[in-house]
Amino acid sequence: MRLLVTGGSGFLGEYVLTEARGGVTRRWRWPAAVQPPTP
Amino acid sequence: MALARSGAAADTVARHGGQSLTGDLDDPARLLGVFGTARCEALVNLASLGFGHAPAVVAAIRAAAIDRAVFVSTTAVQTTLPAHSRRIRLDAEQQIRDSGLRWTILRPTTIYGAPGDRNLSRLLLPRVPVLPVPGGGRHLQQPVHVADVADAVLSAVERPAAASHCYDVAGPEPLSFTELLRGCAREVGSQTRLVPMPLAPRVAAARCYEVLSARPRIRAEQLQRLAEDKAFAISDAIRDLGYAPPAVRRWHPGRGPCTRTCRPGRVMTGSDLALLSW
Repeated sequence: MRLLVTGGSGFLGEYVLTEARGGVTRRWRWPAAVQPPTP
Repeated sequence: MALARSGAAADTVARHGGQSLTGDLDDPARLLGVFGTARCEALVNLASLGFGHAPAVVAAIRAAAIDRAVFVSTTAVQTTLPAHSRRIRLDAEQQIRDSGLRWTILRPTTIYGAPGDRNLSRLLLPRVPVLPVPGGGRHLQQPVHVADVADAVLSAVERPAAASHCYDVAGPEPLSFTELLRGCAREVGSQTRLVPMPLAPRVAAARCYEVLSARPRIRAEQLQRLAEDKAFAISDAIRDLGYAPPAVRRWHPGRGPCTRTCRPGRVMTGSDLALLSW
């Protein structure tokens, strides 16, 4: 389905755009002091 | 396809594999034509409903013969505080309900999960020895991860049953503010001591700060909301959208962390909570 997205210049927009294209958004971002979880 | 009002926004859209469409929600006359060129089947409106753009957006998508639309609002409209934007947002939701579109409104709670989330990440720092907790931290919070909101948005677009419905989109369960902070502190290895303090002096100080600052980073209303329980039922979203936020790790004082069930492929740890913003 072809979507028109308005707004979302922040991180929610990035997630929606990526997922809408079938991309994987389960890529966690961590602050430098925090280690990512074990997959 | 995404509406972009600047070259930088268009670059961001392109970087994420989308096509940009030049336009600005503040320019409703031009919006009519712009939406007409999109040739899209559904609208996903992530733009805030708090700026009065809803009538222009509704008019533009109707003119473009797009009849399916998902709008992201916020659970903040359910506050009992006289928040400035509450009336605007509620009016927007009503305009959407009355639009004749096949609409869905999603109301997420506090969204977290990225450094730019502007929420608890500003408060919780690994090396802060003492953290004042205005209001004592006993009231409930139910923040939601950005990926879960994105899932809900796209599920709503795809599922006919979601049309003409409004859904609260929250984390799997509410936690007290203190529980969240303690869990975060533990996960980042912090010895931060939480010190409950009365809310009123902080609210008064925030009011002064708002007056003095051109761009205040925190508002009195945000502090006042710490005295509200922000717990929301997600059963409707689970039923209609297949919404399934993974359970957060719960902290049981004296017994250590206890991990509850998670969706396959997705594990949420206390470290996620460290990204919570205010």
